[in-house]
Amino acid sequence: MNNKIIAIIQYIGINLAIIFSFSAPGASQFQYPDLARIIFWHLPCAMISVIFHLICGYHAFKIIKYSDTSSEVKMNNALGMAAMMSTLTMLTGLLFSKVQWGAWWQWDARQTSYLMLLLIFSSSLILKKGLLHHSRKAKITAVYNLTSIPVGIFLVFIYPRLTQIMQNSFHPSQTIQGGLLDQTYSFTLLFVGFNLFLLCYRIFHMKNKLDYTIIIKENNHARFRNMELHSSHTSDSYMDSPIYLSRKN
Amino acid sequence: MNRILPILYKETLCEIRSKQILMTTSLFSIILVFLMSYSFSNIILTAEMSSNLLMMIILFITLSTSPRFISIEKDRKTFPFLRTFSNMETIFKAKAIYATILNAFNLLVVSLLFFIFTLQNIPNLLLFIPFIFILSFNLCSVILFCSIISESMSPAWIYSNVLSIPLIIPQLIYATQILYVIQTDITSSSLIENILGLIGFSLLKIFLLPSFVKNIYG
Repeated sequence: MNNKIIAIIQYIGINLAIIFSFSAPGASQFQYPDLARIIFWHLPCAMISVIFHLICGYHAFKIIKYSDTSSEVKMNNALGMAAMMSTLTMLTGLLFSKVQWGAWWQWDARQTSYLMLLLIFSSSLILKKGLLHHSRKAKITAVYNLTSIPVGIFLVFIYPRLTQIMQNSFHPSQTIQGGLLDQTYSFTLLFVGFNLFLLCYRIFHMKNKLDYTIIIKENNHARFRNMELHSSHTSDSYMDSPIYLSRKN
Repeated sequence: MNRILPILYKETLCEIRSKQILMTTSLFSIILVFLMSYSFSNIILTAEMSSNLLMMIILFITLSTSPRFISIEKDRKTFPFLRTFSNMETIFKAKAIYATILNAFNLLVVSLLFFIFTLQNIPNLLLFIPFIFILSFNLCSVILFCSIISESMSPAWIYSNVLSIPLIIPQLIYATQILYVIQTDITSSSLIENILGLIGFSLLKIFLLPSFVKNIYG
């Protein structure tokens, strides 16, 4: 399908998602029912951050297993997206906590686990920056990201369900799994989540393309400089190794 | 194992030759546990408080003392020689085993001192000693792994600590829960759940970390 058509569909979708999330009825069991609608954005952000962490892990695995260097860009961008979405999760969670539970921070199991997840993403980003000119940068960051996957899974899926931790949690654990969510809420949540994910995936995809172009241009510049330095190169050598100015999708 | 043993032997010889390093790290641990216990001397610690506090002491000691097993090679400029003798995977395994054993003994002394200083009951040693060894392995393997990763970065020690702390969070959570249960109700059903969790993470480390090190420097 044409890129423009997809963009228009996504534009309409995300606008509808905003309208639906504001037009849904307030959740009566909360202190401020109208403000509880922030969960339409809070929950998808959390889920999308986990999905991007897993995508990051998948590309890290590809780098390690197949030495696939093209996955480096995807891994780094997936990590960036995961970090951004978990930051949004934290911010929306803090707002929700302040409004509904009376304090910015509750030491709730899920709040804590997401903060830890954010720390993992931050340390991965720090590692990436620290190894800026290292020859093994791709492999080292891939290995670290892959090591962080079981920790991420533990923090999101296991830690909030540990016997001693679960007792003190404010987050409902059986609302979605137990089918206790109102039909309007389920639909809106799914619609917002789906559209937000599509938007994030599009940003991720565009960032990948942009980074590829930058890398290819940098490589071409480097090759031009090398050719100028080594005057022994004849014009034929340009033909032997053509210079790519764009990359096919 | 045939390749690991000579490195273990070399590490032991180095440690015996430079006893002051071992003595300094032991003294550092004792001073730390004394200071932490002293700051809580007027408070009767509950089992929950003491398990969290002890875990913080253990983390701080391990973070401060374990990276030296990698940095010492860098300081003495013996890493290239060691790599000609053996591959990186074996070096990592040997160093992790050595660091685990040495750190576990240190942590055992520190924990017992902590229980004495804070007037806590000493938990069942049959459970506590294996627990300290498993915990020590979990912490040391991750810290050494991160030390190797950050070996070329400057300052390496801060990168090593920043990278390793998020990776050892699950082990610390399980360990704190286990310590709490050991001190309160040993028959609690959550004990098995937590022990399995800690062992699960240990197994992950046994299988994953050496192959990762091999993959980077192989």
